[in-house]
Amino acid sequence: MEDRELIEKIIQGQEDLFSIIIDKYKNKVFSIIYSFCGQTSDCEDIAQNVFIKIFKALPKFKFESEFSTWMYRIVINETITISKKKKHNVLPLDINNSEDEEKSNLIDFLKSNDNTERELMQKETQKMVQEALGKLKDNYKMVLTLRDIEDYSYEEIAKMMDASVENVKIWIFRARNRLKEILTEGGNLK
Amino acid sequence: MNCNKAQELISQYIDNELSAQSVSELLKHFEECDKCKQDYIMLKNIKTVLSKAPKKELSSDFTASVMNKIKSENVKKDDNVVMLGSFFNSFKKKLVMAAGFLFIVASSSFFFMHETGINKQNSENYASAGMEYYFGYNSYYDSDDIDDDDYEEYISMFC
Repeated sequence: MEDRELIEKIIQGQEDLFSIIIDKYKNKVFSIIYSFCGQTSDCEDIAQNVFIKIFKALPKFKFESEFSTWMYRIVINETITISKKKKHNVLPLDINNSEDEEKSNLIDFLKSNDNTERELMQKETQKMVQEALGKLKDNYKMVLTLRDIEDYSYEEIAKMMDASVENVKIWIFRARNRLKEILTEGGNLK
Repeated sequence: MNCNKAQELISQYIDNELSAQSVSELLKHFEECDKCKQDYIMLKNIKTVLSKAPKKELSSDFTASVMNKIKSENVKKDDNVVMLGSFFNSFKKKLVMAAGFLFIVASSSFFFMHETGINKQNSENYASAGMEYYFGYNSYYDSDDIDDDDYEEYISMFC
């Protein structure tokens, strides 16, 4: 059954069909939340609340766009909103306090053109880059999460964030440069 | 190609979103500029690190949990959801409320002036400040084109 038909039936009262929508999108939705929220333990609770929000908002869906586009806009907005409320639970950025040697090693490592993927997956590197990502503004953090972690295209991100492709390109460009500044200069730049 | 242009294109190059022509120009720039080449390598490595971020599986009873919550909490479908346009809707509401408040304050001030017996001369002084807007002149006395009836009508708004 297509999304459109499902949504019409759910709105008309067949609410159990919402479980099909959840099954279809839960992994992608959870993945966005998990990546954006800094891999905290309560991501599953956040995902549950996001799906409840989607269910409650169904009567507002006007069938003028793809259901998935409309749904992801709610996912992104709710994720950012909930993440702000729970900011104290997110892993704190510790780059300023990182050992100088460790930080220096990371920068040298990231500047090297000879790294294997296996090396780039090392836990400490992951941790420092993730912490730097957590220090970006929400919209920059979201575009990088969607592009680099979740591998969505510019066009998909533009639809999901209700923005133009050109804006998405600019946000990604700025976000990457800001991330580089945080990693190389400790995140003290305005 | 200068460095500013190269920096703009690096991000799209990393995402394989550049035209062949732009790629060629960018690679040529890298041969001449070590700084931009270094930036490219670092940004590419950061992207690779992010793309290898650990993933987590959802628990197998996720769907059942959400459906149970919907049923047990008797969740009603409503409008209380954050959408991109909601900020602007909320802003509009606040703007209308602010305009209403200002209107009440302004009306109250004029009513107060009237009730407390501000004389006509004072009112004229207040009114003269608005004459430029009302008549298009700085002062009643500067213009011979405003007749007494117009002036009386204007002044009557203030007293």
